[in-house]
Amino acid sequence: MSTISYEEFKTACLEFLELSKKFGDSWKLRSDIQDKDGLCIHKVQHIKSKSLKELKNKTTCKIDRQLEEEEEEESSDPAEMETHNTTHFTTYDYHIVYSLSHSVPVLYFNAWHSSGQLLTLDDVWEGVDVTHREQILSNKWGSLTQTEHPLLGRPYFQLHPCNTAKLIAQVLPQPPCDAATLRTYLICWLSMFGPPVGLEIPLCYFAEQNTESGCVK
Amino acid sequence: MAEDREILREVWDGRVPVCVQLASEDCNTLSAPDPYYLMVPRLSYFPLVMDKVRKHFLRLISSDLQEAEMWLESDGMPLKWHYPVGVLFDLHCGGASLPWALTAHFSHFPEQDLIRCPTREVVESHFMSSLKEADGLKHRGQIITNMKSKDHKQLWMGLCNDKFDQFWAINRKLMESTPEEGFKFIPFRLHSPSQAPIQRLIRPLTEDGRRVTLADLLLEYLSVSQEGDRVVIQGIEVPHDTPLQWLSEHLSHPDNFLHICYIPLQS
Repeated sequence: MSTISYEEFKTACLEFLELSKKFGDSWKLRSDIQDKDGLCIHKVQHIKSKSLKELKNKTTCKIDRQLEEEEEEESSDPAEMETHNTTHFTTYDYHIVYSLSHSVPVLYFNAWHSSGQLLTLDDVWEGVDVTHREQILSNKWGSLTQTEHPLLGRPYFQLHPCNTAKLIAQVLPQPPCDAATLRTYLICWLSMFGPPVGLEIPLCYFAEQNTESGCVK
Repeated sequence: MAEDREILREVWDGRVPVCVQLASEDCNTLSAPDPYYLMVPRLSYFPLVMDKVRKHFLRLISSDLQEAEMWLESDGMPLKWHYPVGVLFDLHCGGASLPWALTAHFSHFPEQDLIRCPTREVVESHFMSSLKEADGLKHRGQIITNMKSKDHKQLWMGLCNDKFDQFWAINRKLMESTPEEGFKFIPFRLHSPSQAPIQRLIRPLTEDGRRVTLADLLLEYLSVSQEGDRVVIQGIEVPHDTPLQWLSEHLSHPDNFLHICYIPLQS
């Protein structure tokens, strides 16, 4: 079981934000939290609708430019520009929050059609990509549902944190003990929980890991 | 103790009087329809008890709204169905005027404020999540994880069908602890108007073995408080020197959370 305290979670997030800034990624501290003790970091992403297209190029870190590049590559015929203007995007807003009851990070998100309408839970389940469908949908009511954001008090979709500690322990047997290993913990966690819901972690985050842990245990 | 078990029964049997009228913009009839009166269990959730109300209003709304999700509003505020009925009552009505007047809507679902609830499975999933959270806090999740799924089902069915014995046959396991230690942390939510409920880690005993009380919790987590403000649990203004462990065992909702409502005095 690999759990972290709230203080450790805060450290992990702040370290992660530093990396995000360094790589030109768009994770930010959420500033509209009434609870002064509540930390939440979030990132907004636009994904082409129809299929939840996984961001193809994992090695680049200029994430905002990727979608534009994909479009340019596909369109060689100027007459096709019209179809591109009507391409629909789904906007995702991912939040990383701490779970007091499970002592692990939790991923919340909302998603809107380009019309501004919120996706339904069925839409969200439908949008889980092929690689993760079995894993999520075999127990959908216990994995991915709509719930109340613990800091904003509004409806958000949530990936249930029940199995987080067990899953992370399988990958990171050593408990984190300093800023660097806490950052690794968060990145490891995000790399497991992000992809099923369209959030990919560029390789540059993983390349940043220290080759040896600074912990003596 | 036998008398404490009586308290569990009294809490379980708690009801609130409700009067539901149809939103005028959804009404398809010339004259205003009759409102629907009913007593609703404090411990339940609105989607579990509103079937008859929905059926009553279905014939009075236009055909394009027949499949729409019904949502409830109290004095202009959409009601968060995922909170227990009693909590919503204490927060929105507090017995100021009875019955509690609600409006049923079939259009303009406020998706920014309310979780969608098209089926009972949504309520069940939410209920089970809450139980897992509460046990995570009380027992590191050990008890709920080791229960068979038929036990989980029994808790849910006991709640749905208002079967006290069926529910508590399993719930008593979730309330177990050694008398010396109590739960690891007390699962609670502190509700205040116009903000997200507060959740924090609080132990039932201090380091020197003193029992932590409601007063301690309020002192720690209620930022502002003045004369005339009320703190209500299960519709009761509980003495502030009551130990949290006792409150958690006896005044929790079926989701195993102690829902504490802070109701400031209206100026």
